[in-house]
Amino acid sequence: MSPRAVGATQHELSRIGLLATLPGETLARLAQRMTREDIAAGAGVFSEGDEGDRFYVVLSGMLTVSQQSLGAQAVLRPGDYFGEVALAMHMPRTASVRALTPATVASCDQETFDEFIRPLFADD
Amino acid sequence: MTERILLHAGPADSRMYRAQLEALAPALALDLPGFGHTPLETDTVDFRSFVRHAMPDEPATLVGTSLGAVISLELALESPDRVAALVLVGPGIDGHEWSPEVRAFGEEEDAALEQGDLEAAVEANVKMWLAGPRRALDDVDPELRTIVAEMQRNAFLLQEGHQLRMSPLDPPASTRLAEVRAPTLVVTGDKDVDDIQEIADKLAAEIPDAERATIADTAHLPSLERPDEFNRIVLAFLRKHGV
Repeated sequence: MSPRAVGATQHELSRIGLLATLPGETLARLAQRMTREDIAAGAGVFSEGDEGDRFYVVLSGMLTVSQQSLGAQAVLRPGDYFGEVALAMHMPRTASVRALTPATVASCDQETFDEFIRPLFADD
Repeated sequence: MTERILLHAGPADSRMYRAQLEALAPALALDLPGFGHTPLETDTVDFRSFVRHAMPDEPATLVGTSLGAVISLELALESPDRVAALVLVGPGIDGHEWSPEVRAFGEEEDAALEQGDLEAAVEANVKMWLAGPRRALDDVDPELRTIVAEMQRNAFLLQEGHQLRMSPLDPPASTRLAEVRAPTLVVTGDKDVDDIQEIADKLAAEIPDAERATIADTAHLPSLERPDEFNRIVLAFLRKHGV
């Protein structure tokens, strides 16, 4: 991965289904705290068993989620998110994520996840 | 099962294979230099090296459309040990004498770009390659028109200030078709331009044991416009050859 020196934009985050209910001002603050990364086709974002310390949203491209025991589980597209299980449960990554096309993701650390994202799962 | 590497057409990028990444898994779709996410740094690009660098060590199946088909074919000749099978969709070929119809399109595109009219150049490409010469733009799904226009617009912007050229294969592929050893399937849409049909017929005739398929009601981008039929034909070919 090659991190760009810019974060996500409020407009980009508003297109993420999970984040769509956040007020604009909150989205703007969240966008400032996210890091944008380009991922080459075939490159992994993280692997099953890794320590999990970031939450991701897909801005462009397609990625695959797979588990060693079960194989490919899902394809992620723009607007989807991933990586929340390890942060919410404080456990290693439960699956691997790899890009199927060149992709752009934005991610945040545990502190930002706890402040902005975790409350969105409160009713689940 | 081999990995399938999907190489896009000139008016498109990796998004044209959105309906193939799961259906043809394990598959990867690349953005060639000057397209999609990949910037263009030089006028002359060695696309074969770029793709080879992204390929796994084991032989892979190459699925290429148009420009992607040219690169796939050349790679199969240049690095035969890396290519397990070829699917060539709406292929081009070096040395082809393009018809007045295609030359007129090229002139229209060049004139629009010289005048700084990006949208006219984009529309000319969408009309020529997505709709094809025998359909009106209105005959094509508006969502697909929007997607192809977005991919083509992005490519023009990435290529601005460059004269994109392919690093040529020497000797050229058109003189070496009988050397291809990989199982090959040649596919066209029946609404594509006659030049493409002629090139496809030539490849199918001269590549040893090549197979030929035509998909109805689509032009130059059948993977995008007729994904179910495209996937069915390609998967049948791949299974038949055990790749």
